[in-house]
Amino acid sequence: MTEKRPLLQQLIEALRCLPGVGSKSAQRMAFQVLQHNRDGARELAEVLLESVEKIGQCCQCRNLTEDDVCSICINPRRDNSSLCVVESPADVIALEEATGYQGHYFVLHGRLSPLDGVGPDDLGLEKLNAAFVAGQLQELILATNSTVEGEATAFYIQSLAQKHNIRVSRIAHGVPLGGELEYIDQGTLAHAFGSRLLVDE
Amino acid sequence: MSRVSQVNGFILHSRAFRESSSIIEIFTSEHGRLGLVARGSRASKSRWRGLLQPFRQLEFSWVKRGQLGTLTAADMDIGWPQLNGTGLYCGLYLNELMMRLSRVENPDPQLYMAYGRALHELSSLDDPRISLRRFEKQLLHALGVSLALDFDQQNKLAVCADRNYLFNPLQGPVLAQSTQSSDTVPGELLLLLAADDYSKPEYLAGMRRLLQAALQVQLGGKQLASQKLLRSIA
Ligand SMILES: [Zn+2]
Repeated sequence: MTEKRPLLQQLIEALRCLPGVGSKSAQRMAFQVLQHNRDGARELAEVLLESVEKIGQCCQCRNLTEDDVCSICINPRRDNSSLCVVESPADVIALEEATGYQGHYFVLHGRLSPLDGVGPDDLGLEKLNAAFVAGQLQELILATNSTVEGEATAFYIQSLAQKHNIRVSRIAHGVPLGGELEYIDQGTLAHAFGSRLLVDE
Repeated sequence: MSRVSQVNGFILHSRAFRESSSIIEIFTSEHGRLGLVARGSRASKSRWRGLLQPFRQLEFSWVKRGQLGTLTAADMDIGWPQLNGTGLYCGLYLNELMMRLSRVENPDPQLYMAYGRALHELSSLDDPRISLRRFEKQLLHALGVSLALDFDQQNKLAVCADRNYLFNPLQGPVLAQSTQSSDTVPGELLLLLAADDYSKPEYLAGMRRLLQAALQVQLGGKQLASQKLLRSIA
């Protein structure tokens, strides 16, 4: 049997899976919870475990949720003729906070990147296309990032949607080139979202 | 350790690396194609945030020990060809060709000019076909592939404009028998392509097939992802 590493060391290494946490911060966190906040740590451990076991993707919009259908998709007051496509769950939160958008979302969990081998299948575009085919949609808003890959993704989805006579718009103005939605201040994002433009053929 | 300052180049590709960095692949006139780590470029306060995107033309500085260099400066935005729609996909296709076929750290000022010109045209012209064909031919030339379009090796005869030929990328053109009608290429097409003359629209599709066959040999038969993507929405 191999010798087991001390628990404290295991904890410090495990904490490094968090973004922005290097070995020094991991060590500080470990000592903090063990010395001063064991209750908080217990709660964190429980919620973390439950989250990774239960949170999956909404079967309609692919947003993160512990239910089959997320709270936005299930809300009868939201407009199901409008759909906004975003790259990540963080973008949904950003748009919900910055705009009064009342339609639905579709979360790609990425962007088309042929050189990295990320294709339409990896982004759930078959599911999105099924929504186009279903025929309820009147408006599609492309809110992918203003990066080269975000633009390529938007163009691809636009091509799919236009086969079904859906009005397509792309968020514009104020999103700087190379900008990613979750890092933009709310005012800029609200303006960009409000002044979205129809996409030409 | 080598230190390189302010070299003009294009970004071919950028991918996430570790938590907040990226690895960019650049194509420069003086040093050819190479990969660089851009430390912290994806951090929210990075001066490079949003800058290190494909097609961007910048002046790069880097230090290098071992395989991968480290970007130290990316200055003076020389230009950003605005590629949209189909043009954007064509640009991604150029970049994928470059990533797959161009030799690492092999300076080639001619290919560099050709790439810059193709990008510029893709951003300004409506019809990308001629730009793509010209670039494909220049890339093959840079790879040392001689298409010998104007000579029938097997029959030791110059290609005639009014005869038909079978074209095999490894053997070049061979005069077709009069009974063979399908899959032949007009001699005129071969001669025009040899002379970089793309003025006859009726030959562009044939030129495309011919260049694709030659590129496929270089690519080992693998299909390019950007091409497949474009075809699926065309
Ligand atoms: Zn949902």
